[in-house]
Amino acid sequence: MLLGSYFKIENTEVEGSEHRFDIALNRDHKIYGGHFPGNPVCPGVCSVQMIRECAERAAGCRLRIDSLQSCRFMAVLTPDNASRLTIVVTLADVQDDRVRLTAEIRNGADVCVALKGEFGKH
Amino acid sequence: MEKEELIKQINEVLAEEFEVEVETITPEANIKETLQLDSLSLVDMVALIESTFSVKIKGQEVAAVKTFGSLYDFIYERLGK
Amino acid sequence: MNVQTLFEGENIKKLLPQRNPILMVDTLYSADDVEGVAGLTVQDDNFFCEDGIFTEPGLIEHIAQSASAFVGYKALQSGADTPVGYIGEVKKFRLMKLPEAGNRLVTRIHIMSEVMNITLFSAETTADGQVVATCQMKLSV
Repeated sequence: MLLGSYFKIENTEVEGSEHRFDIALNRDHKIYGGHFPGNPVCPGVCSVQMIRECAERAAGCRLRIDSLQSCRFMAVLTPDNASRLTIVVTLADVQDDRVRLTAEIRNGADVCVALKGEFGKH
Repeated sequence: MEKEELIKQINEVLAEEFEVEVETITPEANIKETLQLDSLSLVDMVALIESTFSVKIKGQEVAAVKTFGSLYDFIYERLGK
Repeated sequence: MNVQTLFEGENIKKLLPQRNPILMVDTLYSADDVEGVAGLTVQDDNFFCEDGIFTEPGLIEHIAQSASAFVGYKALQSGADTPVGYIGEVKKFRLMKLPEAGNRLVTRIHIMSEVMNITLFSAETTADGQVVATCQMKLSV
């Protein structure tokens, strides 16, 4: 949904269960026309969707967000203050039908989004 | 409710919700530091106390409560009214 | 079918700063001190629809904007400007079923607690009457 239009992955590294994605945001994406007019701010739900799309790469299959124990947004991201970010997905428990995972979006050293949830495979 | 019992109950629900050892909760200890609360999780503590003791707490009232000792006093007084 | 509404259509924009393609509420049905109800009909061309299915980020955004419209309505009633709300945290989100294009979503917001500028609320969303998701959320205004 967002990969290739809202953001692109520039580099991927895997270390055990930890998958790191260096990404770049596209500041010309149409979503900023509505969020907000004249004041582009990254929608929190687009951060959730980016995590999901990176997790799908890490797990090697399509994933549905079945439950979120928590997803915290510690900093407001804009395509100007955060054109480059790192998304770290850690697959904690992989079953046949679902994965439990944690994920973070980092802007330099700052953790901006932290997610803990269970995603169903389909 | 006796104050001793109230204190025990407050400590238990907070220790469970914020995943800390109940022994770290003492009257002198700072609430935010002990429970590692930030501005987002402070509202979790307020909601937990409101639902546990069926009281309503205003935001400004919480700002004045720094230690567990003053939290016990605050809730005890509120329940007494 | 005579359902009372407070704000709908173009008017909803008075309560929310979001605009298309990310405006995810089209009606505020009711609002009292602690409870508000908002709705959205999922169009085929909704930004968050994929192959006719309304996806999780769309659902979460719809819930956040339902709360935001409710908070915005209360601000207007008290004579203040409508605030811009950001999602601080999504907690205990449970998805039962993904809605489909054409479904009517109705979300009930219940305010649990407010401290400083953070509002904690619980939400339940139905699609054509069936519960599809529940969660708690913190909105920072």
